[in-house]
Amino acid sequence: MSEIIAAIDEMAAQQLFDTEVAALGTQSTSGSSSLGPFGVSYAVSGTLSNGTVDLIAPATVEIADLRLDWHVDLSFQLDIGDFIPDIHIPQVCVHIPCVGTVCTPKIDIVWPTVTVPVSFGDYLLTTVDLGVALSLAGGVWKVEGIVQGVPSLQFGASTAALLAAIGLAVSAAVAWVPLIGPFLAVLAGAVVAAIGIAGLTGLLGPIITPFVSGTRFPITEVPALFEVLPASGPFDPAVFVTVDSLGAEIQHNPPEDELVVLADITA
Amino acid sequence: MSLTETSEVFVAVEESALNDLITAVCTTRPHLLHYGSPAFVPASSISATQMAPIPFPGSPGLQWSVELRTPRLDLFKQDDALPPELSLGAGQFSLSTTVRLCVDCASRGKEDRQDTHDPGHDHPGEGPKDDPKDPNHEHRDDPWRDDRDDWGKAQNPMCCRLDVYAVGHLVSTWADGQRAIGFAVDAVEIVDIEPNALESVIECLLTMVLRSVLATLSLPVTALELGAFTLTPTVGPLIDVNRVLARGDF
Repeated sequence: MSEIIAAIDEMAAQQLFDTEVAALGTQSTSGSSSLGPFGVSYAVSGTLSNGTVDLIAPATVEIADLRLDWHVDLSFQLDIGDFIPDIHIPQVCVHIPCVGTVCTPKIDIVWPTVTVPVSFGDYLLTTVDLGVALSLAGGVWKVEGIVQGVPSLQFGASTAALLAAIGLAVSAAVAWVPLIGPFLAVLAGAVVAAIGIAGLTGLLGPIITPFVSGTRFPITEVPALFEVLPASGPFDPAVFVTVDSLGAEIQHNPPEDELVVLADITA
Repeated sequence: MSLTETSEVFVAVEESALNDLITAVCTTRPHLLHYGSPAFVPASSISATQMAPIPFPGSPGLQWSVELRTPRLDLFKQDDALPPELSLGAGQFSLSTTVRLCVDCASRGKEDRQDTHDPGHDHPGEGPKDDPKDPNHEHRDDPWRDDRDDWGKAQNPMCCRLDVYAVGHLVSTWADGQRAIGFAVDAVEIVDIEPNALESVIECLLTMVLRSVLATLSLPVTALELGAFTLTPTVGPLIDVNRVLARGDF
């Protein structure tokens, strides 16, 4: 039997995880990936919040409706010629009596490659299971909830909205191109179709999932050399005890489920 | 039954851990258990607290010291034996320790000191021979001399050890600005002192000593739960069966 038992109920656990989730702050990363047929560079950030805590014996903390607000800045190169064929109209000359030879101009339209920036943000809700993990590192006992497995994030309506945003971004990016006007709608539609839902989820899933999967939520930390009393004068040095062992588990003690920390100490 | 019941946080400290915490405090700050006048404690330090001699007319003051061993606590229900005069009730702790009382018997002359078998001289195993502060023979014949130059040099220390038992209860207090538990003495018993009037006097003296010593000995509530969770007690800390528990808000 452990010498010291500290337990909190689900309500306190909710407060604890609210605090810890908020303390994670905004996470961000950048890199390059694929967006359908395009190579894309991205910068993405994510902020976790809310979530409803459910303690499940013997060692699981479920957080339902964990909210992830995410924002992504994409940039990809669009070779318009991949979607609209270049236009080559040769010169045509006709001889007109009394006028002479009249020629039309030779027209060569080679579509340029343009950079398309896209900025988009949304949020999603997910449910994660945290395993209660214990470690002793650097003289500190740590109890953490670690997201188990790789949650499947459902982007839902975000993908359609992002595709629409990409279409608008393409239109804006190529607006300066001479003679593109008649082809604008076709081009935007072609790009969006080329990317498709699969292309978006293929990009968003891998770059946003890490904001959730493997995330460690600190539950508590206890120094292995625990300070009972701080130093308070020349004759009163700090008082310590050694925490020999620490454990953490979820106990079902009807009618409550409780997060319990167990410890043994020596003077 | 849940641990937290209607509260959000629950903390329980078993008797062994409570004794570990008390031992840690007492071994790190031994001056909390050792007091004496200058002949015994030349200066306050980590190991002892210097206090004034007991004033008495015609003398520079009676030199004395009191030293306690680290007390051992037994929380209700009773595990440790107690003298029949004491009983451990619900919500109480018992305490056992050994108190070493010393006086500097400056009035003793050379003739008296030669009687090393004087049964009243020291408790078995104690006495000038055992004490690190050897008597200074040059000053033995001047019992009331001004000895301020000899602080830390008791002339003729006489000591005894008394096994002391007490029962008490927890009190809420503060330590270093934090909520803490303290220890209050309800009754003290010393075994095998006669006549009874002397036992009563000694018990009264040691009750006052223990109360004073324990008043300086407190444990922050954070230490009870190792800082694992922030607890603002609404119930306790109180003594449950062989443990101290508290419940409160997170």
